[in-house]
Amino acid sequence: MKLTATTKAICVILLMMVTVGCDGLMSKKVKRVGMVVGLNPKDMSDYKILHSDSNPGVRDLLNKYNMHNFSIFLHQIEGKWYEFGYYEYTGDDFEADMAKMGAEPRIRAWLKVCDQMQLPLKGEKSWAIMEQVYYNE
Amino acid sequence: MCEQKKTKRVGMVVGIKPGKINEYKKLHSDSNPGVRDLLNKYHLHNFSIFLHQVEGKWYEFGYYEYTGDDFESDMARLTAEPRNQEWLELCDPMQLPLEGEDSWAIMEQVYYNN
Repeated sequence: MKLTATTKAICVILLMMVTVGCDGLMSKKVKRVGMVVGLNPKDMSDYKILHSDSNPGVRDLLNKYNMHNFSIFLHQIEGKWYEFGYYEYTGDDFEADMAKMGAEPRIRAWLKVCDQMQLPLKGEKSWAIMEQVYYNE
Repeated sequence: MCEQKKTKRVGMVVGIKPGKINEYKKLHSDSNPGVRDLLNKYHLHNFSIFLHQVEGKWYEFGYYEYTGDDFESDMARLTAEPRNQEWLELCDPMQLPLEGEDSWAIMEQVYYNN
Protein backbone atom coordinates (compact mmCIF):
# COMPACT_ATOMS: atom_id res chain seq x y z
CA MET A 1 0.00 0.00 0.00
CA LYS A 2 1.33 3.45 -0.92
CA LEU A 3 0.95 6.10 1.78
CA THR A 4 0.78 9.80 1.04
CA ALA A 5 2.83 12.24 3.13
CA THR A 6 -0.36 13.45 4.87
CA THR A 7 -1.44 9.90 5.73
CA LYS A 8 2.03 9.19 7.11
CA ALA A 9 1.92 12.36 9.24
CA ILE A 10 -1.50 11.41 10.64
CA CYS A 11 -0.19 7.92 11.47
CA VAL A 12 2.79 9.42 13.33
CA ILE A 13 0.52 11.74 15.36
CA LEU A 14 -1.87 8.88 16.21
CA LEU A 15 1.06 6.70 17.25
CA MET A 16 2.36 9.50 19.49
CA MET A 17 -1.06 9.88 21.11
CA VAL A 18 -1.19 6.16 21.86
CA THR A 19 2.35 5.92 23.22
CA VAL A 20 2.56 9.24 25.07
CA GLY A 21 -1.11 9.42 26.07
CA CYS A 22 -3.31 12.47 26.55
CA ASP A 23 -1.68 13.42 29.85
CA GLY A 24 1.80 13.39 28.34
CA LEU A 25 0.76 15.58 25.42
CA MET A 26 -1.06 18.05 27.64
CA SER A 27 1.34 18.31 30.55
CA LYS A 28 4.15 20.05 28.63
CA LYS A 29 2.89 23.59 29.15
CA VAL A 30 1.09 23.11 32.45
CA LYS A 31 1.85 25.61 35.22
CA ARG A 32 1.02 24.13 38.63
CA VAL A 33 -0.06 26.62 41.27
CA GLY A 34 -0.21 25.95 45.02
CA MET A 35 -1.58 28.63 47.32
CA VAL A 36 -2.63 29.20 50.92
CA VAL A 37 -4.92 31.56 52.85
CA GLY A 38 -6.50 31.59 56.32
CA LEU A 39 -10.21 30.89 56.80
CA ASN A 40 -12.36 32.51 59.47
CA PRO A 41 -13.71 29.53 61.48
CA LYS A 42 -17.14 31.12 61.82
CA ASP A 43 -17.51 31.09 58.02
CA MET A 44 -16.47 27.50 57.48
CA SER A 45 -19.95 26.08 56.90
CA ASP A 46 -20.88 28.90 54.53
CA TYR A 47 -17.60 28.43 52.64
CA LYS A 48 -18.20 24.72 52.20
CA ILE A 49 -21.77 25.26 50.97
CA LEU A 50 -20.57 27.95 48.56
CA HIS A 51 -17.99 25.51 47.13
CA SER A 52 -20.14 22.37 47.07
CA ASP A 53 -20.67 20.34 43.91
CA SER A 54 -24.22 21.62 43.63
CA ASN A 55 -23.12 25.26 43.36
CA PRO A 56 -21.95 26.27 39.86
CA GLY A 57 -20.26 29.39 41.29
CA VAL A 58 -17.65 30.58 38.78
CA ARG A 59 -16.55 27.15 37.54
CA ASP A 60 -17.19 28.07 33.91
CA LEU A 61 -15.04 31.21 34.21
CA LEU A 62 -12.12 29.24 35.66
CA ASN A 63 -12.22 27.01 32.60
CA LYS A 64 -12.63 30.00 30.27
CA TYR A 65 -9.29 31.33 31.55
CA ASN A 66 -7.53 27.94 31.36
CA MET A 67 -7.59 26.97 35.05
CA HIS A 68 -8.21 23.25 35.50
CA ASN A 69 -8.03 20.41 38.02
CA PHE A 70 -8.72 22.92 40.80
CA SER A 71 -8.89 21.56 44.37
CA ILE A 72 -9.27 23.34 47.69
CA PHE A 73 -8.40 21.58 50.94
CA LEU A 74 -8.91 22.70 54.56
CA HIS A 75 -6.73 21.96 57.55
CA GLN A 76 -5.98 23.35 61.00
CA ILE A 77 -2.43 24.43 61.90
CA GLU A 78 -1.70 25.39 65.49
CA GLY A 79 -5.35 26.10 66.21
CA LYS A 80 -6.07 28.18 63.10
CA TRP A 81 -7.82 27.09 59.90
CA TYR A 82 -6.26 27.40 56.46
CA GLU A 83 -7.31 26.74 52.88
CA PHE A 84 -4.85 25.19 50.44
CA GLY A 85 -5.56 25.60 46.75
CA TYR A 86 -4.07 23.69 43.82
CA TYR A 87 -4.78 24.20 40.13
CA GLU A 88 -3.22 23.76 36.73
CA TYR A 89 -2.99 26.62 34.25
CA THR A 90 -2.97 25.37 30.68
CA GLY A 91 -3.05 28.63 28.70
CA ASP A 92 -0.27 30.59 27.01
CA ASP A 93 -0.38 33.88 28.93
CA PHE A 94 -0.95 33.48 32.66
CA GLU A 95 -0.74 37.18 33.59
CA ALA A 96 -3.14 38.25 30.83
CA ASP A 97 -5.66 35.52 31.63
CA MET A 98 -5.58 36.34 35.34
CA ALA A 99 -6.09 40.06 34.56
CA LYS A 100 -9.03 39.28 32.24
CA MET A 101 -10.61 36.95 34.77
CA GLY A 102 -10.13 39.52 37.54
CA ALA A 103 -12.13 41.98 35.46
CA GLU A 104 -15.15 39.64 35.00
CA PRO A 105 -18.12 41.08 36.94
CA ARG A 106 -19.16 37.59 38.11
CA ILE A 107 -15.66 36.93 39.53
CA ARG A 108 -15.75 40.27 41.34
CA ALA A 109 -19.12 39.39 42.85
CA TRP A 110 -17.81 35.92 43.83
CA LEU A 111 -14.69 37.33 45.48
CA LYS A 112 -16.76 39.87 47.43
CA VAL A 113 -18.44 36.91 49.10
CA CYS A 114 -15.32 34.73 49.56
CA ASP A 115 -12.81 37.44 50.52
CA GLN A 116 -14.77 38.28 53.66
CA MET A 117 -14.43 34.69 54.87
CA GLN A 118 -10.68 34.56 54.35
CA LEU A 119 -7.81 35.77 56.53
CA PRO A 120 -4.81 36.43 54.25
CA LEU A 121 -1.34 35.66 55.62
CA LYS A 122 0.76 38.59 56.82
CA GLY A 123 1.69 40.88 53.95
CA GLU A 124 -0.83 39.30 51.55
CA LYS A 125 -4.15 40.58 50.23
CA SER A 126 -5.61 37.20 49.32
CA TRP A 127 -4.18 33.74 48.52
CA ALA A 128 -0.37 33.53 48.95
CA ILE A 129 1.38 31.70 46.10
CA MET A 130 3.66 28.92 47.37
CA GLU A 131 7.02 27.76 45.98
CA GLN A 132 6.95 24.43 44.16
CA VAL A 133 9.93 22.24 45.12
CA TYR A 134 8.92 18.85 43.71
CA TYR A 135 7.04 17.37 40.81
CA ASN A 136 6.61 13.80 39.67
CA GLU A 137 4.33 12.83 36.85
CA MET B 1 -10.63 9.39 26.28
CA CYS B 2 -8.44 10.10 29.29
CA GLU B 3 -11.23 9.73 31.84
CA GLN B 4 -10.27 10.35 35.47
CA LYS B 5 -13.45 8.97 37.04
CA LYS B 6 -11.67 7.01 39.73
CA THR B 7 -9.03 9.57 40.67
CA LYS B 8 -8.63 10.24 44.40
CA ARG B 9 -7.06 13.63 45.07
CA VAL B 10 -4.95 13.90 48.20
CA GLY B 11 -3.83 17.15 49.85
CA MET B 12 -1.51 16.95 52.84
CA VAL B 13 0.59 19.17 55.10
CA VAL B 14 3.64 18.78 57.37
CA GLY B 15 6.11 21.18 58.97
CA ILE B 16 9.72 21.42 57.79
CA LYS B 17 12.76 22.40 59.86
CA PRO B 18 14.01 25.74 58.46
CA GLY B 19 17.63 24.53 58.65
CA LYS B 20 16.79 21.58 56.39
CA ILE B 21 15.03 23.45 53.56
CA ASN B 22 18.04 23.56 51.20
CA GLU B 23 18.79 19.88 51.75
CA TYR B 24 15.14 18.98 51.24
CA LYS B 25 15.04 20.93 47.96
CA LYS B 26 18.16 19.17 46.67
CA LEU B 27 16.74 15.78 47.62
CA HIS B 28 13.55 16.60 45.68
CA SER B 29 15.14 18.26 42.64
CA ASP B 30 14.42 17.10 39.09
CA SER B 31 17.88 15.57 38.84
CA ASN B 32 17.28 13.19 41.75
CA PRO B 33 15.31 10.06 40.81
CA GLY B 34 14.55 9.38 44.50
CA VAL B 35 11.55 7.05 44.68
CA ARG B 36 9.68 8.47 41.67
CA ASP B 37 9.36 5.04 40.05
CA LEU B 38 7.85 3.58 43.23
CA LEU B 39 5.24 6.34 43.41
CA ASN B 40 4.15 5.45 39.89
CA LYS B 41 4.26 1.71 40.64
CA TYR B 42 1.64 2.26 43.35
CA HIS B 43 -0.48 4.63 41.23
CA LEU B 44 0.54 7.99 42.73
CA HIS B 45 0.68 10.59 39.94
CA ASN B 46 0.83 14.33 39.31
CA PHE B 47 2.62 14.73 42.65
CA SER B 48 3.62 18.26 43.67
CA ILE B 49 5.17 19.58 46.87
CA PHE B 50 5.04 23.28 47.71
CA LEU B 51 6.73 25.20 50.54
CA HIS B 52 5.39 28.24 52.37
CA GLN B 53 5.78 30.06 55.66
CA VAL B 54 2.73 30.41 57.88
CA GLU B 55 3.02 32.63 60.97
CA GLY B 56 6.80 32.33 61.04
CA LYS B 57 7.01 28.55 60.56
CA TRP B 58 7.72 26.63 57.36
CA TYR B 59 5.37 24.00 55.98
CA GLU B 60 5.27 21.58 53.07
CA PHE B 61 2.03 21.07 51.18
CA GLY B 62 1.69 17.94 49.09
CA TYR B 63 -0.83 17.16 46.34
CA TYR B 64 -1.12 13.95 44.36
CA GLU B 65 -3.64 11.86 42.47
CA TYR B 66 -4.18 8.19 43.22
CA THR B 67 -5.41 6.29 40.17
CA GLY B 68 -5.43 2.70 41.46
CA ASP B 69 -8.27 0.53 42.76
CA ASP B 70 -7.18 -0.10 46.35
CA PHE B 71 -5.63 2.91 48.08
CA GLU B 72 -5.04 1.32 51.50
CA SER B 73 -3.38 -1.76 50.04
CA ASP B 74 -1.17 0.21 47.63
CA MET B 75 -0.06 2.55 50.43
CA ALA B 76 0.79 -0.44 52.64
CA ARG B 77 2.85 -2.03 49.87
CA LEU B 78 4.62 1.26 49.09
CA THR B 79 5.48 1.68 52.78
CA ALA B 80 6.94 -1.84 52.87
CA GLU B 81 9.33 -1.19 49.95
CA PRO B 82 12.91 -1.07 51.34
CA ARG B 83 13.85 1.82 49.04
CA ASN B 84 10.85 3.81 50.25
CA GLN B 85 11.80 3.12 53.87
CA GLU B 86 15.34 4.40 53.19
CA TRP B 87 13.87 7.51 51.53
CA LEU B 88 11.63 8.23 54.51
CA GLU B 89 14.59 7.76 56.86
CA LEU B 90 16.17 10.72 55.02
CA CYS B 91 13.04 12.90 54.79
CA ASP B 92 11.36 12.24 58.14
CA PRO B 93 14.09 13.89 60.27
CA MET B 94 13.68 17.08 58.19
CA GLN B 95 9.97 17.26 58.88
CA LEU B 96 7.95 18.46 61.88
CA PRO B 97 4.57 16.71 61.88
CA LEU B 98 1.58 18.71 63.13
CA GLU B 99 0.33 18.02 66.65
CA GLY B 100 -1.05 14.51 66.96
CA GLU B 101 0.42 13.36 63.62
CA ASP B 102 3.33 11.01 62.83
CA SER B 103 4.04 12.41 59.36
CA TRP B 104 1.99 14.21 56.67
CA ALA B 105 -1.52 15.19 57.84
CA ILE B 106 -4.25 14.48 55.29
CA MET B 107 -6.44 17.52 54.60
CA GLU B 108 -10.16 17.68 53.87
CA GLN B 109 -11.08 18.43 50.26
CA VAL B 110 -13.93 20.95 50.03
CA TYR B 111 -13.84 21.90 46.34
CA TYR B 112 -13.06 20.43 42.97
CA ASN B 113 -13.45 21.78 39.46
CA ASN B 114 -12.12 19.94 36.42
